[in-house]
Amino acid sequence: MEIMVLDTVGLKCPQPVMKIAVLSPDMQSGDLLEVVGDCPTFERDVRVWCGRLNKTLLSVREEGGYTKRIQIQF
Amino acid sequence: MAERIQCWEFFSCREESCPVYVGREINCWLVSGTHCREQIQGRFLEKMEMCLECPVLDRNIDLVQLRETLHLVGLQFRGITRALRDRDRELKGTNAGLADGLSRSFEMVRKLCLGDPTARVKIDSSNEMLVKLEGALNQMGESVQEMVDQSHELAMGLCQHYDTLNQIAGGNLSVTAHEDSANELIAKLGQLINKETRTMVGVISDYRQAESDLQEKEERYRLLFEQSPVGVFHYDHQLRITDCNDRFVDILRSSREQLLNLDMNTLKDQRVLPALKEALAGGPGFYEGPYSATTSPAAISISMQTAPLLGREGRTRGGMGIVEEISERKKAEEDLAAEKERLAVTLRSIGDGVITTDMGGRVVLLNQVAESQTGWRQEEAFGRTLQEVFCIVDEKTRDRCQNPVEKVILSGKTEILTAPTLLVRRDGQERTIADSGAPIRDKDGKMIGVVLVFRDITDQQRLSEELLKYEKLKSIGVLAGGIAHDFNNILTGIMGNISLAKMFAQDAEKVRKRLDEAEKASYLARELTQQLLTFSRGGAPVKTTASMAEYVQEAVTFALRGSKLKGEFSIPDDTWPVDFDQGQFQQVIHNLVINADQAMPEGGILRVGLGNKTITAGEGIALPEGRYVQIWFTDQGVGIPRENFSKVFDPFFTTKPRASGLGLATAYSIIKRHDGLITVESKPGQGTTFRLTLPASGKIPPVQEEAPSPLVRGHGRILVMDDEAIVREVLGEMLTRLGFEVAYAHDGAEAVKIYRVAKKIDQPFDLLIMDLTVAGGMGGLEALQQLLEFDPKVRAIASSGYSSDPVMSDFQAHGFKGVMAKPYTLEELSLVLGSLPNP
Repeated sequence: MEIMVLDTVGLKCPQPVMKIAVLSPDMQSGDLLEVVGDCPTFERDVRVWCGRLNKTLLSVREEGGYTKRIQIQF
Repeated sequence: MAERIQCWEFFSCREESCPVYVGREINCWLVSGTHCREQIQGRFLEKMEMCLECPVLDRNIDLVQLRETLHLVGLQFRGITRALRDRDRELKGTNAGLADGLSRSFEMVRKLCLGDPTARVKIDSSNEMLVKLEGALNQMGESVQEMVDQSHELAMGLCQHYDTLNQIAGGNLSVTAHEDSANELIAKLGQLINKETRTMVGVISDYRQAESDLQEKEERYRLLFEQSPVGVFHYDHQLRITDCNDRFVDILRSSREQLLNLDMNTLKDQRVLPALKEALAGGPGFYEGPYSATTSPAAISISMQTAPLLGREGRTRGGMGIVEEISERKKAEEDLAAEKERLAVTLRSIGDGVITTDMGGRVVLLNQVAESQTGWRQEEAFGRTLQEVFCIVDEKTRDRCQNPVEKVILSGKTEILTAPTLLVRRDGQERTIADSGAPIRDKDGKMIGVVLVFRDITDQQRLSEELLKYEKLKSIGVLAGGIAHDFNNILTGIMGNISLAKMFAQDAEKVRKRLDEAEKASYLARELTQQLLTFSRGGAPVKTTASMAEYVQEAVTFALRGSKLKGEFSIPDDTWPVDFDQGQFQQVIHNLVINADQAMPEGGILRVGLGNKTITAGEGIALPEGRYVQIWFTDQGVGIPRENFSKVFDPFFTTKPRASGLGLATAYSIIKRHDGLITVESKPGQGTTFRLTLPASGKIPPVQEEAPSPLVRGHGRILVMDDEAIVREVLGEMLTRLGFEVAYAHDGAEAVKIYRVAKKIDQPFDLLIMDLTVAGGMGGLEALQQLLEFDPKVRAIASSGYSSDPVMSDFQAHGFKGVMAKPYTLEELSLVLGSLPNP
């Protein structure tokens, strides 16, 4: 399955989740989006977003510092 | 040394709180807390610069004060030095804490700047400023966190609403935006989205409903248009048909292809154009009548209504038309009109009066006869009560009759007026009517009015009265006829013998004279019997066509012989001929002259007039319509009282002592048998007029022949048949005198026998004279019929005392060659014999 990657490194929250929100209408049910961000509240924001919009947060991988790689299933 | 000054004096200061003023201290520069230059000064070193410039120091300082001043300065200096050292140590400690604190603060700020809103610094410094700074930084962190949270909430809310709006845009109107958010704007935005969504859902729903309704309406309209039982078409301002339904196509027997876009300006039949254009002008149009189609050979009758097609803005967009084919309806209307006309003609032609009323007894209709009879025209009578228009009274009591309409309405049945009823016309004239009323019922059987039918029976009643009178006369006549017949036979014997006796007594003057008188008396007796017979069942006129004008004057003149009356005649030349029995009419005239003579015993003028008369219905004359000839006899006598009018023609009615009372009755009977009428008009003291009305003949009168000469003698054998011996004897004697050989038979059977024998023995008879009526035996007619079978050339004369016998009036049709009415004289016998056709 193809995974779409969204790089939000350097963007301050809540810009990463807003980017995800912009992409969301184009994602079909079942699609995977991998988002990379380094904002300290990035993971929290993504979790909240997934919870509110009924999306599935599959995984969170820390990549040093504040940088994290999160996979979301639509 | 200058004099020492007091600073308060020098500066004119009276500051009572200044310790120098209070203590009156000259060495003011050594005192701390002085009030100089409007300030409270500190110790010397603090104000040294000011004091060094102050003139008071300059004036007041000496060595002692200088030593004191320097001592003070040294003290102060040492104190300052200690303070500075302490201060230095303190500062060194403070700097270390400050650095640490600042370092932590910087870290916190760095984290905060990196985006960690949770970064905080621990406040455990003794440095007040640092504590304040850390506190401030933590406060700032709180604020930043709050802002971040809010911004996150805002962003999250926006993301959610963005997602929701995307779904809505994708057509999912069931999605609901979140309305619970810490951010009021996001919450309100969610509410707004939901509200807008609901509104949109409502609008879409309404739109869809409206679309559905519109489709349904369009479908209904389409069905209405397509399946309408009438033809419907639309057209534009250029009169081009833009649409039409199937019925329209059917009516015009055409096709849709031919009719769509048809330019109606080019129609073959332009009669519909005005109605089409009226609709375009904004008003309704209408045409009804025949129409010839353009795109087919159809020639039909149509009813077309047009109207403008208006758009929403109210402007005319074109026109529309509704067309019905009314060919059948037109025919039905024409048939109905023809039927109505037929009924109206029938109603007009009905010979009886017809009046119809409603249930309230108010006149609805009168036919022409009713109008004529009542004197009311339909338009005048309509709506009036029946009593106003149809005034009827009892003929005898003169009381107003019950309203026949009321009777019918009450009973619900046909009612016939039984009592003789008089209808009083509007002008007061009265006519006898027979009338009946019947209910008018509608198709459900409900009574909706009354119809009266009435007939003027005035003439009919007169006819009935005449008939009754006639029947009375007839019955009496039967009796008189029998007597007259027998009397005639006796008279035949008397007159015959007198005739013979006169022949024998030619030289005996006196005997002849007596015989003449006896003969006259027998003539009178004969006249009497003639009158009786005429008056009885007999008297069928033997008519000939003649001019009454020629006959009347001669007959009246003859009848007036010996009378004191003088005749005056008014007789036009163009009087129509009449078929009449001249012999009988002689009686009539004779009787009327006698009557006039009796009315004017001292003499007078009898006026006799003639005239043509055409009788039409309603004239009140009891005779059928047609051409008639009237003869009137007017005397100047005393007149006849009104109460005797109905009796003057009764048999044996007379006001004269020596009259028989049969004259006018006989005249009445004769006129009746001629299908005529005799009437009397009279006023006491003003004379009387008898008017005879006789049907005019359709034939042309023959030219009069000359009368044959009397006593024609002959020869041959004659067989006489009569059941009366006296008649046989007298007739035989007469025939012998005339030169004939005579044989006798007493009835028809004997006559046949004798005739046959004579024929066989070759002694045939040349003539038979046979009585028609033989009591108890065969009469002359039956005998002749038998003789004709034996001998078709047999010649016979009929003889009878009944002049009414049909054989007498039409003897030739029965096989006879002549007739002789009893009684007869020798001359009359010879005339008949002489008039016989040669064998």
